[in-house]
Amino acid sequence: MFDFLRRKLRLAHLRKGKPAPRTHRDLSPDLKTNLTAIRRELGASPDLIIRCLKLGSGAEGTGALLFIDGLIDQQVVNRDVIFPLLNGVKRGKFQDGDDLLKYLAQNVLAVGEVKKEPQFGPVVEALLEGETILLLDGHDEALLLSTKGWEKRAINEPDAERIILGPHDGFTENLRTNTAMLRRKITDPGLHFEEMKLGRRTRTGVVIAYLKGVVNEKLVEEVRARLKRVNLDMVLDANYLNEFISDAPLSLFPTVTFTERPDVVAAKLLEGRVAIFVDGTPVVNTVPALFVESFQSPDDYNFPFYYATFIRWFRYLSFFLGVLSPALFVALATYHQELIPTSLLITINAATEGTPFPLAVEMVMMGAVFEIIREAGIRLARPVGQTISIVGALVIGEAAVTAGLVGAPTIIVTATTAITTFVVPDLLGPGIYLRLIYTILAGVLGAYGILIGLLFTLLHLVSLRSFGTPYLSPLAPISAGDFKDVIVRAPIWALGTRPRMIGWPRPQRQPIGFPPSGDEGEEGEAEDDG
Amino acid sequence: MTGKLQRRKRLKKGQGLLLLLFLVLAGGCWDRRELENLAVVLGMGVDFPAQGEGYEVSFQIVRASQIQTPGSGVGGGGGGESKPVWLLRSTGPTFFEAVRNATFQSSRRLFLSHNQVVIISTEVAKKGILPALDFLIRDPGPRNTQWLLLTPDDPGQLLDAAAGLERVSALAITDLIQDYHLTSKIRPVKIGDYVEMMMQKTSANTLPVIRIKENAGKKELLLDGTGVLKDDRLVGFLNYKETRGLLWILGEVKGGLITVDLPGGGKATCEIFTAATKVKVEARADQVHVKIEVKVETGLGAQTTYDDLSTTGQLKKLETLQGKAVEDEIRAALAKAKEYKADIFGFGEYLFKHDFRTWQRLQKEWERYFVDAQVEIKVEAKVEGIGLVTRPANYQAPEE
Repeated sequence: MFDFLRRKLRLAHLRKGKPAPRTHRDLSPDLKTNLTAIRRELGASPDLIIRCLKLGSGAEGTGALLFIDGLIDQQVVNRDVIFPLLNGVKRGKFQDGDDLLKYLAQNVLAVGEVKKEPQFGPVVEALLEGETILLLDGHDEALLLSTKGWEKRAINEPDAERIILGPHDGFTENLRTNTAMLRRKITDPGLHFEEMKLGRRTRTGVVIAYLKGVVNEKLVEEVRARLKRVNLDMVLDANYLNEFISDAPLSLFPTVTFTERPDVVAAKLLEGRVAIFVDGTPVVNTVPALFVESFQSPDDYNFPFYYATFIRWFRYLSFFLGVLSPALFVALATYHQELIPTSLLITINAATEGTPFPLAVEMVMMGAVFEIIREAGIRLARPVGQTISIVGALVIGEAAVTAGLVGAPTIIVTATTAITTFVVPDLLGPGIYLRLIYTILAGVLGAYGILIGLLFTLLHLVSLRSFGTPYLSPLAPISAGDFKDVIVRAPIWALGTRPRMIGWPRPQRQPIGFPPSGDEGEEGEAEDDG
Repeated sequence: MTGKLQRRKRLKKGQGLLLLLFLVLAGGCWDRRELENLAVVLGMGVDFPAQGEGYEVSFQIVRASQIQTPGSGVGGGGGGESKPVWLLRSTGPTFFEAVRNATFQSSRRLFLSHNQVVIISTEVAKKGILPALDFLIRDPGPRNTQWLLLTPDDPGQLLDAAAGLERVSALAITDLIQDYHLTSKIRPVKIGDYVEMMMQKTSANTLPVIRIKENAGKKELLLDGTGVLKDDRLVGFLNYKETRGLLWILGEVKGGLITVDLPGGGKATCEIFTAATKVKVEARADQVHVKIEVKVETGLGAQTTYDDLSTTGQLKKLETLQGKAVEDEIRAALAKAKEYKADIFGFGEYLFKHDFRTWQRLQKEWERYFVDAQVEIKVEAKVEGIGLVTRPANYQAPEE
C-alpha cells in the first residue's frame, strides 16, 4: 500500500549523494602552524580559548592549552592542568632523551583520561566535545585531556510519564548521567554499553545498552546494524533514530517504544530488550516494542496486584472507548437506531433535533476542534493556557449546543474520547487517526464500516513486527504464559518468566512457586547456559 | 524472477485497495437515516375504519423536543402545543399500507423498531388478530417484544388518554403491564409469545384488556381483566379473579394478595411470597383427568379483626382458608374456559407432549373432552411470616 511512497523516499535518499570525507591531515611540529590551522577551522569563535604557557621547572618548552569555554570544568583545568604544568615536576626527574608528552601524561597532569593524538581531525573533534588540548612546540602530537564539564539540568520527574508510587527520577539530557542512572538500577556486570557517534554534523553520542546473558545476541546485532545504517546530519532526539530504525516506518503504530524513566528501561532490559540512549535528550528508546506494552505502566508494579489488574483493564477499556466511541455513536444514531434503548433514543433525539449537520460531520468537526484546543493548550505560554480552557469549555461546549449547531451528545462523546485517549499516551497518535477513520467509515457504512475498519487494523497489527518480534504477541501469536502480565498483572512472585517472544534465550527470571518463598529450585540462570 | 514475483505481489496490493474502495462505495449510505428525521413510534392501535375496508392504525409518535429532559428547562415558553406525543391515524387495506400511508401526513418517516405496545380493538380481535398484525410479525423492524393488548374502546383515543405519571401513554401501558407480578391478576403477552402460542395444538390464547376510565372528566387508563381468544378470534373475557385462576394453573403467579373471610367475621390479607404449580393431565377411557397441585407460601399482611392470628391454630386455619380461596379462583377460571370451550391452560398441549397417542385419539373432539374434563385441585398454602406485629396492639387474651 505504501510502495509508491517508499519508492519516492528511496529516490530522494539517493539523490542526496555522499558527504565529503573530512581531510586527515597530520599535526605539524610547529605550534604556530597548528594554532592557526585550528583557528581557521573553528572561525573566530569567542568560546575557543587558547592559553599559551611555558612549562615549569624540570622540563623546558612552550605550549598552548586549547579548550571551549563552557564545555570544560574550569576548576579541573585550572587546578589539575594549568597549575601542574606551570609549576613543573616534583617527583621523578625528566631526562632529555625522554618523550616529553609521555612524561607529562605520566607525571604531571592530574586528570583521569589522557590520550595522544597525531592527527588534526580527531583533535578538533575532541576539542568540540569538551576536551582540553595540549599542544607543545616541536611536537607533532597533541595530548587530549578529559576535562568535560558543563551545566546540567537536575534530575527531575518526567512530566510526560507521571506515576503515583515508585521512583520519581527521570533521565536528563546528559548521556553519562543517564547511563549512570541505569547502572545504579542494575548492578550486574552483564550490563553492557556500546557507544557510537551518529549524525554527520551533530556527532551525537548514541549508546546501545543491553544485559548480556539475558538478551538475545542477534537482537543486539540487529540494533547495531540498523543504527550503523543511520545516515543523518543531525540527531537531536531519540525520535530521529526511532523513525529511522523502526520496522514499519509508515505504520501508525510505534514499533519502537520510548520512555524517560530509568526504572522502565531497567525493567525492559531485564526482560531481554535493548535500550538506545541518545545524548542530549532524556528520551530512551527500547526495542522490540509490543502493542500490549503501551498499556503497562510502572505503577502497575508498584501497586498491589488486584488494584493493578483493575486499573490495567480500565486502560484497555479507555483505549477502545477513545478509539471507537465516536464511531459507535455515529453508527448507532444514523444506521442502527433500533439498538439504542428507547428512552435513550428519545433523549438523544431531543438533543439533536434541529442540528444542521449530519451526525458524522458533527463528530469529525468537534473532534477537530478538540485537537486544536489541545494543541493550543500545549503550545501556549502557561499563563495564557487558562484562556484556552475557558474558550474551549464555554464557547465550543456551551454556546455551540445552545445555538443548536451541534447536539449535546456529540459534545459528550467528544469529551469522553478526549479524556480516554490520554489514558494510554503511547497510542495517542494512532488513536487519533483510527478514531477519525472509524468515524468516517461509520458515517458511510454504519457498524459494517466499523467492522471493516477494525478488520484492516487487525490485519495490519498482526503483520507488524518490531525487530523480529510479532507486534501483537503474546496475543497473536498466542503465548498463554505471558498473559500473566497482559490480561492481568499477576503477583510479582508469579511473574517468574520473561516474555516468551523476547526473553527466550533465558526464560526463567526466578523460581516460581506458591507460597512465594523462593526456596525451591536454584536460580533459573544455570539451566540453559550456552 | 524476483522482479516478476514482486510485480505480482504489487498487483495484488493494488487489487486489494480497489476491493476496499468497492467495499466502502458499494455500501454507500443507502440505509442512512439521521436521528432527527425519524418519527419514533411508541404505541400503535389497530381498529377497523369507520367506513370502507381495511384497517385504521393509530400511531403514537413521540415529540422528542417536547419531552422535558432534566437540564433542558428553557423550553417552558413553547406555547400551548406542549403535548409530548402526536397521534396519527392512517388507514389502508392492510396494516403495511396503513403504515406507508402515514407518510402522507407525517413529515418524518415512521420508525417502528421502538414500538412498545400494540392495542387491538375488540372488533378486530373478533375477526382475527394474525391477519391484522402479519406485517408486525413479518417485517424485521418491529420487535417481538411489543406488548399486545385488547381494548373495547377506540385504540386511538385510548393512546391519547392521560398517561398518569408518565408523559407517553404507551410507556405508561408498558409499565402498567410489567407490574403484573404485584397482583398476578393480569397476564401480559408479547407479540412473539402470541405467535408462539398460536403454533400450539390447542391454540386458545389470552390477551390483557385495557380500557379508558373516565375520572372527573379526564380519560385515564385501566387494565381490566383478560380476553380469551380461540383460534385467533376473541370469544370472551375473564375478570381479575378468573385471570388469577388462569395464572395459578399456568404457574405464572409471581406475587399478589390473597384475601380471605375469617370465620369470626372480618378479613385477612396475605401476600404471596412464592408459588409453584404442578399440572398433570391423563386420559382414562373417555375422560380427561387433570391434577393441579399448587404450593403457595404467603405472609400475613393485614387483618381487619382484633383477634390474634399468630397462634399455630389460627395460622393453620388461615392456611386452609387460603387454599380454599386459591381453589376458588382456579375453579372460576376453569368454569369460564369451559363455557368458552377454550383450552387456555394448555391441557391439550400437555397431552400432545406427554402422551402423543392419546392426543391423536382425542384430538378431533378435544373441545368436548376439555369441557368434560375432571379436575382435581390440591392447594398447599403456608403462612411463612406475619410481619412486624404478632397481634393487634390492644389484644387481650380471653380469660380462662
